[in-house]
Amino acid sequence: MTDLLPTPTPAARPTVAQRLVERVSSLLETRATRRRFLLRAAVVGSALSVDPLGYVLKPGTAYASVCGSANTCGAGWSVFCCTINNGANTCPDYSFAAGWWKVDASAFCLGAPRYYIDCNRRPSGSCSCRCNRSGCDRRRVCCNVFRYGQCNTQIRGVTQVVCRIITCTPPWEWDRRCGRSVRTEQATASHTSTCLPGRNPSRIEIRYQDLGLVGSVLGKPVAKERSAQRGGRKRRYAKGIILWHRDHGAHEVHGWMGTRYLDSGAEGGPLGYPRTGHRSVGDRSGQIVRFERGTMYRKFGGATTIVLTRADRRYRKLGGPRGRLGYPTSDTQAAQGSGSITRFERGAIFMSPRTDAVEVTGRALTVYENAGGSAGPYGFPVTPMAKISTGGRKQRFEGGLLIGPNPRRVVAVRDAIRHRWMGEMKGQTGPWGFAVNSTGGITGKEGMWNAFQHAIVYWSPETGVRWFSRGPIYRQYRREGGAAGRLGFPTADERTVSGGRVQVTFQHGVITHDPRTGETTVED
Amino acid sequence: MKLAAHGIAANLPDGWEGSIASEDQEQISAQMHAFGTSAGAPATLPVAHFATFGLPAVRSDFGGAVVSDMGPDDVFVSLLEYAPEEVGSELFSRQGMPWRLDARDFSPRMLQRGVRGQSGLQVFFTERGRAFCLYIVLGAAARAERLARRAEQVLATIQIEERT
Repeated sequence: MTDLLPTPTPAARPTVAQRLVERVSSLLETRATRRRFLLRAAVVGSALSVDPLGYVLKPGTAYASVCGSANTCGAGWSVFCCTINNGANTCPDYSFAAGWWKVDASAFCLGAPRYYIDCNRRPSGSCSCRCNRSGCDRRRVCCNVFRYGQCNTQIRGVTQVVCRIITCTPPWEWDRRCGRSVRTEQATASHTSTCLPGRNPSRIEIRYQDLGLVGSVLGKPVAKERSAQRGGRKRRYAKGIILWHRDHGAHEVHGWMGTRYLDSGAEGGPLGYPRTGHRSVGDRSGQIVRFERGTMYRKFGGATTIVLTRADRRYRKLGGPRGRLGYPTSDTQAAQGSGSITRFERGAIFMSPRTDAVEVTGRALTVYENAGGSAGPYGFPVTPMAKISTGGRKQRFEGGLLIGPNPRRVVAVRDAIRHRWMGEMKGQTGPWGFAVNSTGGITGKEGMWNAFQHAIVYWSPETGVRWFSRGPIYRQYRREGGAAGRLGFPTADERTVSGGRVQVTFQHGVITHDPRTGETTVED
Repeated sequence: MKLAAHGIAANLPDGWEGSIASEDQEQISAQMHAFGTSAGAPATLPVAHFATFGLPAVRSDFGGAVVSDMGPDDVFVSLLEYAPEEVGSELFSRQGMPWRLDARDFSPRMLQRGVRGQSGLQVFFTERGRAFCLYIVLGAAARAERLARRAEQVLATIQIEERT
């Protein structure tokens, strides 16, 4: 075995330290200590378990069967990062991803390309050339001054390759600072290390590798990979979980979101399997993870919430956290009236088996909730707030309408009154004009009333919708106690009688006003 | 021998072999699709190889599969183009191909794969609005002066066109 660094030349003579490394590593290669004996025995055991046929039938060493070809320092290749970085498949602090190459049709990536990403020494960092001396990945550390050149091209120059990261994820997706210029190096196809997954790994092993192994946000594994619901697989880690399902692939959920996901029942809960890993919200104010039946949102410094099914689809259509609703402030939860509600920083989305997921925002939400929300007479929203062709805004609900000249001045009108207003009375351009308050109830009686710009409207089951102008008759009616008083509800609309007098008939009386004399009379 | 492809041309001196090729974009995309990755397509870009020895069919972009077979008088030159978006970045900020080589710039450490006795040089640059890396391996570091001159002979014949 030739574990030697390149022969020195006048052009670049190795330092004393490099010569010392070379000498010591050669000595260690040949000394038969008890430790080395045990180490070699362990490697042979690994070779037999990792590649038994290859080790027994093909010429070569146990090291080669476990760590692939050219695993010595003298072979000239760089070591894997996980070998020298405490098991982390990440660049050490003093290095940066500097470029990558691929090996096609790799058994380590289930037949897909396997990517090797070089971590080069940062220009401000320092390291010295050495041969790794532990395990079977005895390749070079910080020796080869070379750069593949597709990553972090804002950093100038070529420095030593410290080590190599492995992924089955294309580098330009693994790190946005890596470009797509393809480089291929089939000679490294068998190169690997005991800290990396072996051939034909599970999708969960691949995902964990691509996240950085123990250097990832997940930390160390705390359980073996095992079966999950509906034919899936899962594995728990110190800070999260990776789940795989054939329809969605393998994805991780970790940190606060991982805790919430596990608390909600993981893949057996309302969210189901994850469909993505953690993704940053565009303005980096938080993160999201999408699942089969919804999305989990986390605002940094804020809440972690679960938005489900149609409510989530509607929310995302409205722009998600960066849209007009802002972040969710509650989970999707049951609302009174056999539906659900999800609250957001600037509104809420309601849905029911009968209605779509519809948002209610701003003043409309206050008016709606003051009127009882989904449990009240208006039921669930049917359409979003929309412009009216004649001016103003309106939003339809199962039991009425929210309407106003602008979004900040909306009132709620119950269906019984709305039908006549919008039909026969031609809405806000007709004789009633705009509604100026929300439909109110009548104390102690079944009925309701609404004030409009030019009219007062009452409804009861016995009398239907009746109206009269705002003026002396209305003032007198109020003095008599209104619909709750002795006169009861109006039984007919305002009408003009003999002598130009105006008259309204009630259940228990009549009010007449004479515009010529200004006199208003009440008859029982 | 004249070679020309992908906007790169060379008129190889006697004793040199070469090729200018690019990977099959469709094949790479198909492999990625088979794995189920949703990543966008990679950029397959030309790679030119020039050598004073017989080039095998499989040699790797930076020659990792062939350099261990080089003799002490051999030279291997790889000219690799990078994606257009790299033009203007710090790494490719040097303007113009290094037509002249200084033997003192070569180093046994400046190799993709350290092979005993060899010496290498790597330069990133922009030529005619295209981003390139020139990588040269000399069979013997001790003969750097003579082998660098030999490498210059082939560099002198290379022509790079503007990307259309």
